[in-house]
Amino acid sequence: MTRLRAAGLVLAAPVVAFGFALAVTLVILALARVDPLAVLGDALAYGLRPVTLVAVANKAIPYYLAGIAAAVGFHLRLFNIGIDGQYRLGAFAAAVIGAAVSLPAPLHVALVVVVAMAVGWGWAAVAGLLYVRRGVNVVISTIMLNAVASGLIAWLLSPARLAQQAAGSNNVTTATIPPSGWIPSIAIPGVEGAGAAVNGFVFVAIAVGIGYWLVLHRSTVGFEVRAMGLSGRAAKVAGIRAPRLALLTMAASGAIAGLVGLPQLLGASHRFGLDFPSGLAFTGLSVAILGRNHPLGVAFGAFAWAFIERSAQVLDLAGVSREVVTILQAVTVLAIVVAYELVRRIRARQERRYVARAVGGASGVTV
Amino acid sequence: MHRRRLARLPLALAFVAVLSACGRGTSNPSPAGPPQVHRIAIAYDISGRGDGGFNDIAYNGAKEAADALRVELKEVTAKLDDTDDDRAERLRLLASSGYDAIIAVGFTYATAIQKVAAEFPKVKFAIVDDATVTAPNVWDILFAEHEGSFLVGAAAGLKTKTTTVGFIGAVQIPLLQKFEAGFTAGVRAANPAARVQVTYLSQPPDYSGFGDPPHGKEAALGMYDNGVDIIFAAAGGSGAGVHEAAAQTDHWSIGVDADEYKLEPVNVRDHILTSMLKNSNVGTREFIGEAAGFQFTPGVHTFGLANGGVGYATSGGFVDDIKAKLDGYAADIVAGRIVVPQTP
Amino acid sequence: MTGASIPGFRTRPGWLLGPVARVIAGFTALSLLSGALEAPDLFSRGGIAATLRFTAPILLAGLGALWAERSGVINIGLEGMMIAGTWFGAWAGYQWGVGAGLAAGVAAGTAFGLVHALLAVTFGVDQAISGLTLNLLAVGLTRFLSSIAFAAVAGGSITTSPAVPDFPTVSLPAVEVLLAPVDRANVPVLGDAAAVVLGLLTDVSVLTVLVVALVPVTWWVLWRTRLGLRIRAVGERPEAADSLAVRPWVYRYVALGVSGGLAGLAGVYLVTVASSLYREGQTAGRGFIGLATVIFGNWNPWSVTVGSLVFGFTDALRTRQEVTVGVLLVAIGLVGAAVAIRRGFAGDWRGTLLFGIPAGALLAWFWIVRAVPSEFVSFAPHLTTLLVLAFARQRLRPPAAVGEPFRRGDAG
Repeated sequence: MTRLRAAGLVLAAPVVAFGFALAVTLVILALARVDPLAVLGDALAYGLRPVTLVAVANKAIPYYLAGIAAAVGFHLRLFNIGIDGQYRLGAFAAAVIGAAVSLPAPLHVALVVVVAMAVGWGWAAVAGLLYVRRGVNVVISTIMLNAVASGLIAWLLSPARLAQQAAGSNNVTTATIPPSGWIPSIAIPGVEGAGAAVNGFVFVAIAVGIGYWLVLHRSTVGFEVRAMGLSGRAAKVAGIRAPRLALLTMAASGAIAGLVGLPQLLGASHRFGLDFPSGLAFTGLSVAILGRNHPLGVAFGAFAWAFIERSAQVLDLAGVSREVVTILQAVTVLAIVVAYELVRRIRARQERRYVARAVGGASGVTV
Repeated sequence: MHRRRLARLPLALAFVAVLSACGRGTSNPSPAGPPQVHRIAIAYDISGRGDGGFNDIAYNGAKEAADALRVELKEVTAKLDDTDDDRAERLRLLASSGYDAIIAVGFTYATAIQKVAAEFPKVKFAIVDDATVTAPNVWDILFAEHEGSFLVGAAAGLKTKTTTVGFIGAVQIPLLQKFEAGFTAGVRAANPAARVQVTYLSQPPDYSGFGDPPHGKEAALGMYDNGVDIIFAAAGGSGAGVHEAAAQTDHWSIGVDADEYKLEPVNVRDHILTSMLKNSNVGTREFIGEAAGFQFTPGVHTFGLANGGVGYATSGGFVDDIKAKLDGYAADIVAGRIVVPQTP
Repeated sequence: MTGASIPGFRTRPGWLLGPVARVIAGFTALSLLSGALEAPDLFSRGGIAATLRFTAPILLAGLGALWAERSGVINIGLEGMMIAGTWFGAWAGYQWGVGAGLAAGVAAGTAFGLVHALLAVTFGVDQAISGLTLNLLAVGLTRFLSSIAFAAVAGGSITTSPAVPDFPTVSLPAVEVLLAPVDRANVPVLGDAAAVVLGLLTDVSVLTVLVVALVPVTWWVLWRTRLGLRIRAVGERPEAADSLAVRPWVYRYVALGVSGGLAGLAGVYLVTVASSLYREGQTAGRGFIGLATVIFGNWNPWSVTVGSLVFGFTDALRTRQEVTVGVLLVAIGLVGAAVAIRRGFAGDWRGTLLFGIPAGALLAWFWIVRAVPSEFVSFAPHLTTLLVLAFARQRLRPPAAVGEPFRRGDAG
């Protein structure tokens, strides 16, 4: 009976959250003077089309990688806002080097991936070193290093240096990576329509998720990281070298962050330009928190975030403006986290009551 | 050539309006009629409408044309972390929802349009600020900002008393460097001794320079304190700060895109020497006119001094005394006697 | 203020260590350097005034972060609270004057702060995600409100408010008369000193004066009153405070309310003193910089002020006259070289190489290019902050027995 109720509560969290978010959404849509149910129906109908779901999955891949990069840092309470600079610098360097060399396909792709990860690793290691050696908090150092990365890229991404500008174009880009350095997209059988192919980088993302879980739960370093996250003092007493671990974690976060731009680089644009997506760090941080640092949770968070963004395009057409969509997004996230927290508290209270009753009953029998 | 098309536009619009009024209720227009435009959409880049400048002007042109055709006009806006796929998907959604004349503002849409235009051959697309898309149903709209900037540069060169003028750009991107190049060339042409101080408020992908009046104001005050007496503010929303600084320290500033004399408060506008006009409305209006007309000519359409795409403002009358000279430069540019550089 | 951060004087006699002496030494060195390099505007009246205007909003955000974090709650939502302050400050300001704008902006910030408290304290939502989401909410909400309140008004648009009136300015009497001639006479060092004093004490907005006053007020309230003691206690040991009948949630609500109010005030500052209208995106990340200054400042209002000034000064410098940023570069290179030489005399060859090579490279590079590319100038404030922190941290680090200096805020 109690167990059944506990299980019910686990399910209740998302249901309550979803219900609450839905209610708030309907109210806001009504305030925006559209027919809430019709618009929401349109959005869902659009979002749930197979071809849109493929697009959602593609959008979720970088979110997921950014989320895992953030999650790695979270274990040691390192708030890596620098994901943004790390992935842009990584993708930029990878684009330059990828376009400059000519290799057999698998090697070429591997080189691009390694360069991006190495640059992300190195850029994050700067923040890691400043933290470990000089005690500079990573929040500050990564905010500042993001600005430095932007300036560096802006300087290098110039026709006078590592980039080019096509005639009649206002874009500045690196040279295009030759096809041997592309990752093909995978067509999904049965899904028709333009753009209905999953970015091949999805496998790398899945591998990163599995690797993240394995390292965290099946390796000494992972054990140390988890121990450190639970209790820094206890871990230190147990002989874990905190600075080394912090540096390692920060650099690992950066290496994964280096991958964030690659689905776009390897699977779509094949070059880095002024139109390269930026600002994915905060999405990554949000997604990691939503997913509670668990690889599957982060995947769910990334997909949900991407789904909302995609479906929201319909709202734009229905006359609901972009700002309302932003409000919706914020409220939905808040509703979900609040609901999780409330349900957790109810469960904790119930467990306490259950334990108290069990202990009380047992003592009644024995004495 | 463009002027001719411009003149033809109202005729085409009127014709289409009559047609659509007659044909209401019948789902199939007569095969002899022009390919009608039923719904028009504008997709902006991240800054979107309300900038008091380029995007708003582009909207005005489209709105005018849409009203003449009595069809709906829809606006959508991009996000900072958009990929090409996101932009393509946005255009696809518009095209598949019955929007058959779609204007994408900003070069970031180039890749997306190239792709989506092929998927929807019956839909007419336009891309503003890019000339790299080639498709039978796409207009590439370019503006010769450097030509207009040359004229206001010449005005600054003629009017400066300190032989030092300034240029404040929002973000250091090629689009704005075109303004800088034209302005500097204009200053030099009119006043070879003059120096030009140049600064940009932010670096890509930090586009905060387009909407940061405090930085615009301080950059301007810094220039005015150090010998500059006229500043060209190609800085989007940050330009308001530049104009404020001009008013506060009693110097001149130069507006951009719109005739900013008409937008600023009374105490500020009397310090706006002139404005570089980028008449994006002409581009959007003409595109819709063609999309709704008999003949659609894809390819690059450049709007410069020759066809009223760019120019300078005379509101306030502060450049009346040098108007003849400026118009002389304009004539030279149109005739090809002056070739204005596009990169600094 | 930059002088305070120059390292390398550790072993000198105590009297020379005094912050005042160090500021004077640093100032003199920089002033002479700018004269030698013929770089304008390093210490000018307008530049110092601009420094104040750049510093104020960051300082307010920093103080806001200080209140929040001293009570034990991280406030990443400062940016959003500042955005709310800009919008409501402009909305009330353009209709009913600056007083109303001030009240509305602060109230809006406070309201956002209390929502953060509701989420983070009452509902126990992750503090970081609550803050991040409030930022998102503020962006959406203000745009939505603009479309209702500004779009149809003359001079306004969906992203811009009509012009907002400004606060009056004040000057300390006699300063102008006494020092302006010294400034104009271009006496080396002394002229620059006069310019600094003039910039700080003449034509200062009333709101700037209020902002400056809030620093000692914050210190006094947090360290000298019962309320402050309780807020800090709640931030250090909530369980202990709770056991003494000091309810943590009450004090966290209070602290977050103040925190939001300060961020809201920063927003008002942006729309009145720093410019004279609301413009979407105007906060441009200043809330996050403020958040950084509180860590920079070791959770202490005076050091938060120094951190804000370092950023504000460099930002003013690079915004006003790009060329002068080169002076900073040379100064950094010279300081690095000095440290390297000292290390060499101390027999620490690794230290000599560690400081000497980058410093030498920096100076050599500047010698060749003679001007810093503007792409690099754009991050001068950020890099300076980072370098100051990397150098200065060593001095601030307490003896090992004190334990970890980075207790709170490591997660943001």
